Amino acid sequence: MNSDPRDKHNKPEFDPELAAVRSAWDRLEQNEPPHLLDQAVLNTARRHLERPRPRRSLRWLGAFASALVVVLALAIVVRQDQQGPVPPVPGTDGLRMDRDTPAPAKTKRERKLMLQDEPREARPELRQIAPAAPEAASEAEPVQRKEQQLHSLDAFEEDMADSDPEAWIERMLSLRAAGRLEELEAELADFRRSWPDYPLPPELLD
Amino acid sequence: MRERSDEALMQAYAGGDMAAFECLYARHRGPLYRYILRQTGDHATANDLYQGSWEKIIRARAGYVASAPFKAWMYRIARNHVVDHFRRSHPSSGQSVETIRADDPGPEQALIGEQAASSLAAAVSALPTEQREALLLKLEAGFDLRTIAEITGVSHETAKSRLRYAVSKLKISVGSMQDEAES
Repeated sequence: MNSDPRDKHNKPEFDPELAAVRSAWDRLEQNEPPHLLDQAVLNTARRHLERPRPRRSLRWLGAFASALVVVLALAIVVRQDQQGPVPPVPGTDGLRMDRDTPAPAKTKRERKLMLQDEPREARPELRQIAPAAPEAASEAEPVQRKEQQLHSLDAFEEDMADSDPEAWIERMLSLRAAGRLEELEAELADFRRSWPDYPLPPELLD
Repeated sequence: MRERSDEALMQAYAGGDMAAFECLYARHRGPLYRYILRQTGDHATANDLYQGSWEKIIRARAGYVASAPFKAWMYRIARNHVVDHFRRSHPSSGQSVETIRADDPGPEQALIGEQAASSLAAAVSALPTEQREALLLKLEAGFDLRTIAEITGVSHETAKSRLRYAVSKLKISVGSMQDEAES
């Protein structure tokens, strides 16, 4: 940066005169900035370091978010204008219809609960799907149906018992109480095969 | 231990190192202050411009590129600040700073009645601004002609001729100082 002796182009041709001026110049008073001014500059430098710099990325993000909100709002307004008002459905009063009709169930569970609440007579579609029951049924039919129901109940209990040993034990106790000892023995044997280490109540061990 | 360069100190300051700035400031405070003081001629204005120049340097720290010489960068900021001040202080004249200062009395007239010890300073302040500027960048900051040309925004030849004129005008006051020293 300073005069380079190798750089002839940079070297002034009036060097002797300049040297004389420099020599005289160096004898001038070497003024310095006042101490308070030094302190002011240093304090400014320190303050600028302590002050966090504005985060350009966040400012950009804020501006972008604002612009996005404006664009979305305009898009919604324009879209509504294009669609125009919704024409009323002839013969209906929209508001009353909304009030009287229950809101459609949103989930499967809600729909199922609604179906359960409805009486079976009020569901003609089920009646159509179900086979028509013969009108003239014999007198013995209710007894037969009851036995079938009991069998199906037993089968259900057996299924339950297979998966739950306590339920199985309950069932065996009820067999014992009913005096069905042959069945009880068979059940006990099955139980032992399925749950060999499961503790049995003393009533069943006798 | 090897002294850290101005560029390294400025980068360290930009990275949050206050001690680096203190070192940099201690290095340049005197020459920069005298450069501004000899341009303005009064201490109050020089103090304002000196503080303003440093504020600009501090604010510009993030934009400083280490590949550029710090000293030239710093003096360019200070020089522009001083020029702006002169433009503001003569808003209605429509003349450039250079023209205003060139109308001032020449060094010969300024020397009349001056003590020889202060004749050089008076002669410098009487120089046209562009010549004084080139001379101060040479004598106070020690820049070569190429850097003076870069800082002042002129060609190498223009900077050279400005410096030549300034030196030739100062010869008289320098001669009187020498005469006084001999007698």
